Amino acid sequence: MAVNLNDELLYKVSKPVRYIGNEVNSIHKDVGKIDIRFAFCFPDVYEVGMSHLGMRILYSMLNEKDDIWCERVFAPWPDMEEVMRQNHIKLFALESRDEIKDFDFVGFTLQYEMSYTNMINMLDLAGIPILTRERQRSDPFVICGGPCAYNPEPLWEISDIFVMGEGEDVIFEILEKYKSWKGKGLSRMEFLKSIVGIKGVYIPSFYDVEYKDDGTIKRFYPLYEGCPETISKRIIRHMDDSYFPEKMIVPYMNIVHDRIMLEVFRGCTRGCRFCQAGFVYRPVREKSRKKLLDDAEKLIKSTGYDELSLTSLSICDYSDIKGLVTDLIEAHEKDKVGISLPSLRIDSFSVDLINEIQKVRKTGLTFAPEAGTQRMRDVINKGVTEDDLINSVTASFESGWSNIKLYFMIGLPTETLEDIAGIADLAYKVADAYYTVPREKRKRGLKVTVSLSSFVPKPFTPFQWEPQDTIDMLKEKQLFLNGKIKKRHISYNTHEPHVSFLEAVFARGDRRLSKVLIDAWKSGCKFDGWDEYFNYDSWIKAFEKNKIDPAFYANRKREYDEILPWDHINIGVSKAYLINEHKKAMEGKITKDCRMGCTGCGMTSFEGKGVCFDGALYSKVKEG
Amino acid sequence: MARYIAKLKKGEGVKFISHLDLMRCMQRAIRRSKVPISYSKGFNPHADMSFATPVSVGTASEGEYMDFMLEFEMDENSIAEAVNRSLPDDIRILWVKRIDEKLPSLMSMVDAASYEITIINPQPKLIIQKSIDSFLNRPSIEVMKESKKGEKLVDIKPMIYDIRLKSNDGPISVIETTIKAGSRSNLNPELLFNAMQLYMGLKDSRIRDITKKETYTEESGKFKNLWL
Repeated sequence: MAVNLNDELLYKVSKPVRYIGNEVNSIHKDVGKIDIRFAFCFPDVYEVGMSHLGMRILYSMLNEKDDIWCERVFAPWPDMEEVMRQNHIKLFALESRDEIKDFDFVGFTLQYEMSYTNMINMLDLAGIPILTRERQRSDPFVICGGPCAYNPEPLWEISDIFVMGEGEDVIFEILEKYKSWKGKGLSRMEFLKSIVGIKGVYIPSFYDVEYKDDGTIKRFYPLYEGCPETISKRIIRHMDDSYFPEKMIVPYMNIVHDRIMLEVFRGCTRGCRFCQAGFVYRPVREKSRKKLLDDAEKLIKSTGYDELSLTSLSICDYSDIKGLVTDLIEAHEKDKVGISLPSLRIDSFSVDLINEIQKVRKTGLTFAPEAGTQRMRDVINKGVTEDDLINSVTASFESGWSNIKLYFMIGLPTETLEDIAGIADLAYKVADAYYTVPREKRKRGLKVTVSLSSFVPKPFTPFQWEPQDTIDMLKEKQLFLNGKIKKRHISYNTHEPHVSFLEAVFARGDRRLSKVLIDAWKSGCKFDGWDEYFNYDSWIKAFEKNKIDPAFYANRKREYDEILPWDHINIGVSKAYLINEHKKAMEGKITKDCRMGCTGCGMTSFEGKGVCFDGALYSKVKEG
Repeated sequence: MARYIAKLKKGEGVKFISHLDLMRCMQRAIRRSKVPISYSKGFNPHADMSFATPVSVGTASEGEYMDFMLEFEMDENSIAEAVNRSLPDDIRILWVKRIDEKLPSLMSMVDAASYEITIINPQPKLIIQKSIDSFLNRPSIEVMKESKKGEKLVDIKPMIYDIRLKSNDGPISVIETTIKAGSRSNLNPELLFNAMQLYMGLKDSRIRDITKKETYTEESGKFKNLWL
């Protein structure tokens, strides 16, 4: 049923364009011919959600099928939520304006922990019971994926189904089973049982957990026969054969990443020890230059965008990057299409490459040294040196850039004040490098921005056992650094440590936290990633009410033999490898990039030989 | 290089997009259509096009004008057809005309605009031509204007040319008004409605729709369409 969202209501809210849909390339279908209606939900506002590539891929892919209609749903901004609740308008899908409670599936992508309350709020706004066990036959199935789904436990009683890994293939296998379940009058449980054997599918309600007196996990076990003991993630083996849209929706409003996003490869070989993406998205699989040029051509034609961003982790590691960038520019320079690269790795950054890009359009440059001293960078296995950074920024200043952003983290394992002072030193050296470039060669208006985040230990990284610094320690370190940065051209911004603390709690949380999430939501928490809505006191009250100490999750050092809440999920990287990496970190020893030779993370025994570097140019990779 | 103007319609379905949204949408549609729009030189090339006036979020329009340059001359109807094929259905190019490069910018020619405002009003007796006339005959019409810098009291009387009651059907009243527009002096129709609410006792009424009907230029004391 379509909601009655008339214009009088839209006049009352900010940015009503978020709710009108009908953008170029959005997909509309005749409901009468549809078997499965899928609501793809992003638990944040339109302009954030529309910037997410995964949603763009799955949206187009599902809609290729005649009998499936996938529509988009975003979290309404609080002013819109108020209007909706006052006027009894339930959460609706953007394309049809139909209430999503009548859909077959409601899928959420979990990109960051601080969006969990928005997910609960969206279910409530939709009129769907927030707890799995309270849902009836007529309610949709709630299915979750995305990076945060790798530790699904804090949402175990809210989501019916989790999908581990890349969703392209597994989603169709689930929908096939759904078709044979639908209309037979069977229970919800019957459907879940029919998919529990599909690789990558995790049904949390089919498992139970027991705890020890000290609060750690004693035992995690399946309740029914046929439930796998461990749930393995899914990957696409050959990226050239994978689905990539030829058309993408072109929003009316200015979204966060308002450009074509071209996915070049998946995975990362660097092995930075803090980075969850670097482990969970293994192995590296590349698309060919030909496929990418083809996709780019189609997307430029169908969208009219004048900017194309090559999106992948550590983009310069693509084995054919120079060829790709050169060809893209040659093909589209005349149409004034600019090519942009996300945050660059310092060492792989070549002057030629930026000069190629600069021919058309200049954007600011971002580098991520992550830590201020070589010792600290070795601990986190960020295998770059100060010389790498200074050479790269000098080259960029010579090529006419003057706006440099530097990403750093504080609170890293083994960190000392010396490491933090090193951040300021490095920023100063970057500024000094600008003045080594002759005045007539450099562009005026030097600006160096130091962006400082707080380290959040994540599951499936070598630092998953590490305690996070307390809020007070993080604040002290921020103040310390602030006192060190006193130069006109260097600006400095930090993240709110309270938010990082809660991220650390939920990133490595267990099932007991679901009650906290629900209580926090009940007391009004939502949009926790937005400063203006983040309410730390409400969160603390929710922990107190449930007699849970958040420090147990964030600030406690775990032992190697402790059963971790996500131990039943298998990402293909072995625990033994992570333990070894953790030990090497404590010894300050680096691990080489696996393009230089296999480091034995376990991926080849998980997926079979030949899976690493599928599609890459052979000359750029040493065989393991 | 060849200069053109186009008259556009911003339909009901997209009335909630902003002026910037509309410009971006038009630029991308032109790019998709392959019509050879010309670009500025430099590191950040911009498509050479501009709108005569901005149109607000929430306002539909049947009388927008756009000024643009092409790399080479093209048939007027072919331009309109090609761009219309690339535009969302709710945005239409009504016609395209080749004009002299030396003419002043459209933007600088705008003096006024007319709007049709549909009002939902539970007390229909309050909106009659007589009450509108006495509103217009007030010595001044002062109203609070919100801006980024804060609130300011402004007298909008000199910015109103006329207000006519078009129809009154139960709780739905439709008025037409011509007010100042353009870079020299501009009145937002929503602000005009706020003033009417204030001075005509229309506290409980609200806007259902606003449509801009036409954009005008003044020539020897008379308003005529910006371009015919």
